[in-house]
Amino acid sequence: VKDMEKKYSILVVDDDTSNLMELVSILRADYKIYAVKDGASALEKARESLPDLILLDVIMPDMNGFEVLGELRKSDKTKNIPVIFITGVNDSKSEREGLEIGAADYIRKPFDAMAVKKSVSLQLGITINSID
Amino acid sequence: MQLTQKKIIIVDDNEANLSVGRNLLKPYYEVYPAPSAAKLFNILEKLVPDLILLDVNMPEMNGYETIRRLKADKRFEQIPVVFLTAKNDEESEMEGFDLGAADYVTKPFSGPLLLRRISNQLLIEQQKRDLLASQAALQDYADNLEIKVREKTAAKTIFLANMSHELRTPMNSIVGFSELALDDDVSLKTRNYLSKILENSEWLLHIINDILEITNIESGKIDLNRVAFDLNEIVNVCRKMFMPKATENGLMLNFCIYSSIDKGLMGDPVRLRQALVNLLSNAIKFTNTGFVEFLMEIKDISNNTATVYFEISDSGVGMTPEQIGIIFDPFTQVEAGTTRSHGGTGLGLTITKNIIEMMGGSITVESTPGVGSKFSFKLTFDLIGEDEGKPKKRTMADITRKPRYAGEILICEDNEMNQHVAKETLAKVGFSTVIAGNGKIGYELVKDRMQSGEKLFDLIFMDIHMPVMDGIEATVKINELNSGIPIVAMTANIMPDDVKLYLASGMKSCIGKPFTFQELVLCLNEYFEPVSWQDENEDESNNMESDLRQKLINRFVNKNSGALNEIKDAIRDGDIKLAYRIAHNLKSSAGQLQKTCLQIAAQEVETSLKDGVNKTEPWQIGALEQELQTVIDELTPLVSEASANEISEYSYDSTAVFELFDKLEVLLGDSDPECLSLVDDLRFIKGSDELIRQIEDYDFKPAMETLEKIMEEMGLR
Repeated sequence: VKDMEKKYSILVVDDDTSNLMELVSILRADYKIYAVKDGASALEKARESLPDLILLDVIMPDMNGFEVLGELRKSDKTKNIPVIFITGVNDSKSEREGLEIGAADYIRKPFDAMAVKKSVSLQLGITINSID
Repeated sequence: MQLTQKKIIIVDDNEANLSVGRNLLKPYYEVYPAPSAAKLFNILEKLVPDLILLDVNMPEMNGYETIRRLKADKRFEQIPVVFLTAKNDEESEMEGFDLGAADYVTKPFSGPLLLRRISNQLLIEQQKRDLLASQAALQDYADNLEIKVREKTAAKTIFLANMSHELRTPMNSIVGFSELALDDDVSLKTRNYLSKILENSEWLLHIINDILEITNIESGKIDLNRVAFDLNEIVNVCRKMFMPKATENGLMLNFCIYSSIDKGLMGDPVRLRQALVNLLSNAIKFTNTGFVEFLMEIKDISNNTATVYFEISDSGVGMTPEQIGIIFDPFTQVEAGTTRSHGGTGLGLTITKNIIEMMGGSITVESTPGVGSKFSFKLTFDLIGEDEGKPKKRTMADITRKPRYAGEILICEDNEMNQHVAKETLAKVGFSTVIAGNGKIGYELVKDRMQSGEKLFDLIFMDIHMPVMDGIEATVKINELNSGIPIVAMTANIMPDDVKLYLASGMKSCIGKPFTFQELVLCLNEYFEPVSWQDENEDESNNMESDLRQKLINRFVNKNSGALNEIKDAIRDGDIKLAYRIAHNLKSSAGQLQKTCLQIAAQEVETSLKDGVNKTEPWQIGALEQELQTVIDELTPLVSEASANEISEYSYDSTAVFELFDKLEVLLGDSDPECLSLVDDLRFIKGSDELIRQIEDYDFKPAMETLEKIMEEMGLR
């Protein structure tokens, strides 16, 4: 079961270590994870490894999540990778904007493990039995 | 004058009297003549008069018999009866009064006198009624007042309960994370800060609990448990709890058990222990030199009860009779001066006294200023009946050893901080955990496992307040599945009424947030047998994998046995930097093994060797030597031969290091967070601190650069 599930890989992008840590701990059992802390590394990693899904923090220094998504969309290789934005709890503006420019979904901080798993599995088209 | 005329029945067998009376009264009252007692009762069936004029001498039923019957009937007993008696028949008059007559008039009666007597009686009746009405009004007022007071008290209790929840919830994070952080590899300075945070949070929590407890006592909300328990176990727990503190304060702590009891008792062991702990901790707190003595004696034992005498005495500061008079009042402590030096809420003794009284005892105090104090009480317990089972051996946590369990626990909890604390703390004692963010998810996890035939959880910790589905509903629903999994409430609401609700909804027990490690173990022991034990002295951090710990011990003994001589040699040779590095490493290694004394001694030396200048004092080197020897002596028997070689090889085995680095390089290159699992192994490699820090910070790119550098330095590139 594990191997089957691990055929999917997820790139997690967040400049905050504890957020990364948490998302990794939520997802590592089921997916192959790549974790990076800035937009430039995210683009580099996305092009190199072509993950099945990207969890992308909106607010990051240097290059924010919107810019990263824009760059991803410019390349044929990466334009179809679904992106889930990571937003703050009171940031409905980012959520709206994100969805407008093509994000697949968003997850809110602080993370609810089940909600994260659910939206990830939804995006990957997997049904996990334990979730209704 | 009167809007409604008063009604009077006049009873007389003499037709003439009847008619005189009737004519006399008619202008003022509504008059009903009755020629016999029988007729009177006929009329009474139809109306209730304001007064009865009653002739004494009548055939069939005389006046006395009639009044007896009137007074015996609830409907008529209040009606004033005025007797009509023959002249100078004092005996009849007295008998009439005895039977409840209101007054009498002698026949032949004078009109004005009869009218006056009647109006007097009616006035008295009116006043009686007015009085009753105002009494009722007063009572209403008092009742209202009482209801209001009760409402206020209830509001206060609810407020305190809520506050305690509000206070305990953040405390859960503070205590929990401090404990967890202390188990991490943190610097000595940080460890010191963390210990202080933990110590103070625990103290704050203790105060919150005391205040909550006194609120419960005042509102009569504390119920005593009745379970089988072992008295000796309670004494042992107290001994273990206070011995270190007493020794630290230079006090003799004696436990004199004059006669022990091999039978189990029925009662509330938790409350009894609370009382004893309060008294012992007070005794130690207020005794600067000398002794504290705990005495226990079985005074009386019969087939089904045992009376036990407890005495806690000390050679402490003592109290004057005036002070003794107030020590049991809440929020008081003798002398403002001592309050400051001894701390505390002053609630401990109030609580203790209440507990003892609830158990049917009463506490006695004897004290002399400057000589000492003695607190004593006697309690009678039922002995365990045959059908009440054996005392649970594990009702008390063994506080010197940490257990390890095996099993899987479901944590239903919405607060992330609390999830984290519960998960990590349970992991420390060997449990794997699954988190559910609300009751519904928890319920569904259980249901799914039951349906798919997967292994069920061994226990469920259930928060109460959760979104979507709260803990109470989830418990009911899970129990409907008949999974047999015990559910334990894990909540900051632990007022007795709350706890009753949890138990009523089907939870097995309750653990309050924040919980200390001890409380958690106590709770877990109700459901699990520990699979192994770890001595606290030997190992304070349970999150360290045992093989890692074994590796650390082996490494420590191998590497550091000669460390002191190396430091001395380096100082002698003038290589202060080398000496500094050795002391620094010794400090870190001691820290990894939680050998705090050695850690501190090494740090002292390290600090004195800073910046290439030797400022060490001979006593510092002496202290380090002593501490190091102690630790080496302690650890040497624990070194496992096989791995001793392996580990000493390992630190120099370039192949193993190469393999490790190789793996790490691939993972780092891939930004794969699985590289974090290699950090433990990395700790064996000198100079990898920076690398470890970067990996732990998810700074994989810089970590990659650091790794390259290290590999170059080690000649692996």
